[in-house]
Amino acid sequence: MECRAAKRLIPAFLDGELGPDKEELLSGHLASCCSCRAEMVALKRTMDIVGACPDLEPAFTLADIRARAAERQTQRGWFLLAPRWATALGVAVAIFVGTVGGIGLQAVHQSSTHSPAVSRAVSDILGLGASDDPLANLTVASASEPSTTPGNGGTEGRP
Amino acid sequence: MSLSPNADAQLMLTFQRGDESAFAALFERYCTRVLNTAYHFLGDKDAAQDVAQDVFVKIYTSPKAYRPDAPFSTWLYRVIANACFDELRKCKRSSIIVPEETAESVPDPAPSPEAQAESNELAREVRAALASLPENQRIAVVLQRYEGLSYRQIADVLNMRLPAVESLLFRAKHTLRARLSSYVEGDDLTPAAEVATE
Repeated sequence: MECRAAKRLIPAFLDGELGPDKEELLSGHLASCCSCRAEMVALKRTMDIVGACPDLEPAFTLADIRARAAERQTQRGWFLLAPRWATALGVAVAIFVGTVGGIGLQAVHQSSTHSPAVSRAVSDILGLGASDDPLANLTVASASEPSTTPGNGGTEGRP
Repeated sequence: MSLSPNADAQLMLTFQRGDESAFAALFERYCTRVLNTAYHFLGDKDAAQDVAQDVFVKIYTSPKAYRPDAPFSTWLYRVIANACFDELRKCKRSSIIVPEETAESVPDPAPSPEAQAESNELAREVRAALASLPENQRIAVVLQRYEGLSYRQIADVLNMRLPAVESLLFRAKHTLRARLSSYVEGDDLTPAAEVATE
């Protein structure tokens, strides 16, 4: 085994994570290589120093966790409630706009009967007589036109 | 600490059914471990206390997040790791905030002022060395060195393959060795770093 390969295995060897085959190979190499042995000792000492770093004691209790959880749930409750209010407001606005808009459209539709001037102008263009109201005919024609829905005999009624 | 991993999962499932005493048992069992995992990762006492509490609050308020297809401790360490990563990002801490050492963290009951100063300096250096590691290397070292997790368990917590964990720990340990070489007796930094930088 070369030193380079051996050095890659040293951390796992120190952690007891090397398989038996590799462990045997590395042990054989370490027995004959001062440099790799020194490397292993240095790494072990380093990790001992790292591991000796002192621990902390908890500065909180189960009651603190429960209190913090209750606080979070209250905040979350408000947060969850907010979109509900926003939805309700949105629905109300939509209903209002729909109602007002609907009334407005109905008023516009009712006031949009064809004016005689428009009818005359169209008749002139089409070369019809003054008594012929193309828009009125169009309206009548569309009202009397049979349905074209498939299966409803729509095309049969056509000439 | 005599409960088996299966017992932890059972406690969590019991808590999911609404038994608060099961949560109390889990808190008792894991409180110090959660805190110190966060502490060794973040290197800041206040942040660690805060993150540890947040971890328990998350478990308390969302118990259904745990599914018994993984050991409870694996899931818990995953929650801690994510909370630590979030904390680092939230505070944009790219390096550890090294706190002043206090009496609570000095292991020697009656140290001389020189010994205490040396111990404090060493602890600061260790934290600074840990802070110099990338996040995933740091959490791998913390889980392995302080929590005693096996490489396989670390792979499960970090959702990585085993060779990736081996590689993380190899690089992390050689960085630590280079950073702390002046504190290692007789270490003249033989050429291990060459291998680590491959």
